[in-house]
Amino acid sequence: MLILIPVDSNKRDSAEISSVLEAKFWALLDIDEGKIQKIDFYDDKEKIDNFMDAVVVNSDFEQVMEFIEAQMMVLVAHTQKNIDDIVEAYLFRELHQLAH
Amino acid sequence: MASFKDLFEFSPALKLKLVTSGYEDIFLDLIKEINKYDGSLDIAQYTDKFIKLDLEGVSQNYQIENFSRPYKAVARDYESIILHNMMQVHKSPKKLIEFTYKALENSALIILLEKKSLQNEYELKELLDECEFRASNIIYDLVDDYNIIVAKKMHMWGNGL
Repeated sequence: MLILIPVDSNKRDSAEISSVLEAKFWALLDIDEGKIQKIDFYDDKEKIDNFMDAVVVNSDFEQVMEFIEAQMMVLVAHTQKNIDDIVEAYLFRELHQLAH
Repeated sequence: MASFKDLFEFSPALKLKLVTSGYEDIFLDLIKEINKYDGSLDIAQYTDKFIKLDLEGVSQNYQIENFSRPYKAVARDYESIILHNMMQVHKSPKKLIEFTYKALENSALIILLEKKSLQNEYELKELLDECEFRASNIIYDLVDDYNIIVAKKMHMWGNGL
């Protein structure tokens, strides 16, 4: 499963989720068998050569139409900040659906 | 004589999508007919040479330069999707067909147009079956130089979507 997260840096341990418009990097996580198998950072999401399954954003008011048009699931992490917390919340189904 | 547009049942506000690796005039009759019924055709061109079309009935026409990405389509939006010369061009044809499955309404048609010279019609028919499309058929003589492979997204069959 490929999950996209807009983040503020390309360092695996310190990167925090950011708004879609302010994202400096895009983390593409390959999650399989309940674990992160691989993380790639991209400075431009247009460079990603794949069909992605989901995107995680940090609020309900983000611009997500382009992800919906790519048939990606849009999930919202209201409280989680770093990648590991977001993945844990995703695995335990604690991320929210978009509220509107 | 039957033509390509006879594959479709026209009704008011019909919404179709054409995903192509190079627009050709074989779709002109179809566009005219769609326009008569107040419908719309969205066109996604996977190409380096984008062709602008100023035709009534075409509501979206955009270019995609990355041949491994999906086109734009929200789930269950279209009554038919035509993939024209796409199977050799796109880097993940299977994912493209799975994506198309989600973009189609229930009991909607997927239509693949592939050059006869490629002789890949049986391979594609099998691929459509694998991706949960049903009632697949090959039509040999409707459009010159093209084999047409048609299949249906059946409600509650396969993925049950």
